Amino acid sequence: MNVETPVSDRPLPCGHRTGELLDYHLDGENTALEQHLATCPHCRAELAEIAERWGAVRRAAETPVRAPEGLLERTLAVLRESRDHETGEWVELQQERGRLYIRPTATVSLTRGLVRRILRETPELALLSCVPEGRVLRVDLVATYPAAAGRLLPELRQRIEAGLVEHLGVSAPEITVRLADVAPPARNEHER
Amino acid sequence: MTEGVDADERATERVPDDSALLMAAKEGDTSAFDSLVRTHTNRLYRVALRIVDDPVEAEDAVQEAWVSAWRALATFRGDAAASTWLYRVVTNAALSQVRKRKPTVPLDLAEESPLAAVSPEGTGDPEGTALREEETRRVHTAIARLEPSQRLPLVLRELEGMSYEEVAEVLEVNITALRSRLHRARLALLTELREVP
Repeated sequence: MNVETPVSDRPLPCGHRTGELLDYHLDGENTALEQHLATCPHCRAELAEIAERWGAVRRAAETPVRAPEGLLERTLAVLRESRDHETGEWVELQQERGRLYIRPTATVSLTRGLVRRILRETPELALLSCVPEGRVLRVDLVATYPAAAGRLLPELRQRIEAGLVEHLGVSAPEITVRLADVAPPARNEHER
Repeated sequence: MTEGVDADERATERVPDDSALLMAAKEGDTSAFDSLVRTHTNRLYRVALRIVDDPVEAEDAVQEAWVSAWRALATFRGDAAASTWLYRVVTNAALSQVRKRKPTVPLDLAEESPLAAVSPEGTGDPEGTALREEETRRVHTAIARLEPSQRLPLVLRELEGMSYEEVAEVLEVNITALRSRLHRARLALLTELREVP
């Protein structure tokens, strides 16, 4: 690191500085300097030197960067491992011919699908997020004012739990359902 | 964005799709998130590598960035472009890699930058390719010698080709502060380029 290096914002004999010319070279937007350049040999020479040196930066920017072989696969593996670690526990389902183990992410996905299906009947509520918190799955909703959320939430929670038990049996995770946000009514509804 | 970036990586063309995928991921849709990972990992790697100048650290930064992004999905509100949000996550992860480093003896100016391995495609002109590689190495060695507060805006603006507004949003600074940082960064890089052999 080069915090100490003095920056070469050197003044030219005409009073203008390298930094001004560098910014002009990269951004333009300096009419006064542009007019001055027409008559100043010092600025023109400095600008030409800047353009030559900065050409290397432009070419470096255009040089493709190739990601290492297998980067995507390794990244997805790290991500899945992290998700599984954080996404509660595997669900163990007893079946006639043995046990079925269900990934935590699959349980979240199933819950999300269930909630969205149930919410088709209650357009005043929408799913905001579905995230695991330890052994509990937290479902956050957003309601359009003035939804009767107090009445709807317990019923909704019961329906989600029933749906999960139907799919996952007694190993279904515990659910909490919260109203996380309230959205204003759509304009036409408000005016109605 | 940078001319070296493939057309399908251009952020502006992906904003609606990416934002929709992020919103779906926020609801718990892991496949939507994985789709973003597939689309953007190479780009995030390029940004990280240009900041940390080390392939191993760049890969760590990319993986840390995606894990952080997954954990921070609740903070994505859809008011910023998805690409801006992802750039912010990866620059933070890259910066974190730089800060984790133990103090070391400053690099020899002539020491080869890992980005020297980032070579142009074969052009049938071995001499020209070698010169271009050498030039790219010099630039990245010079950038790696800048302090992080200068390196980040410089990489985003001059190498990634982002607008002032986009860089300001990624770095969460106002345009005036960004212009000032970038002015110093450009001068510092020019100084380095004059010094690097």
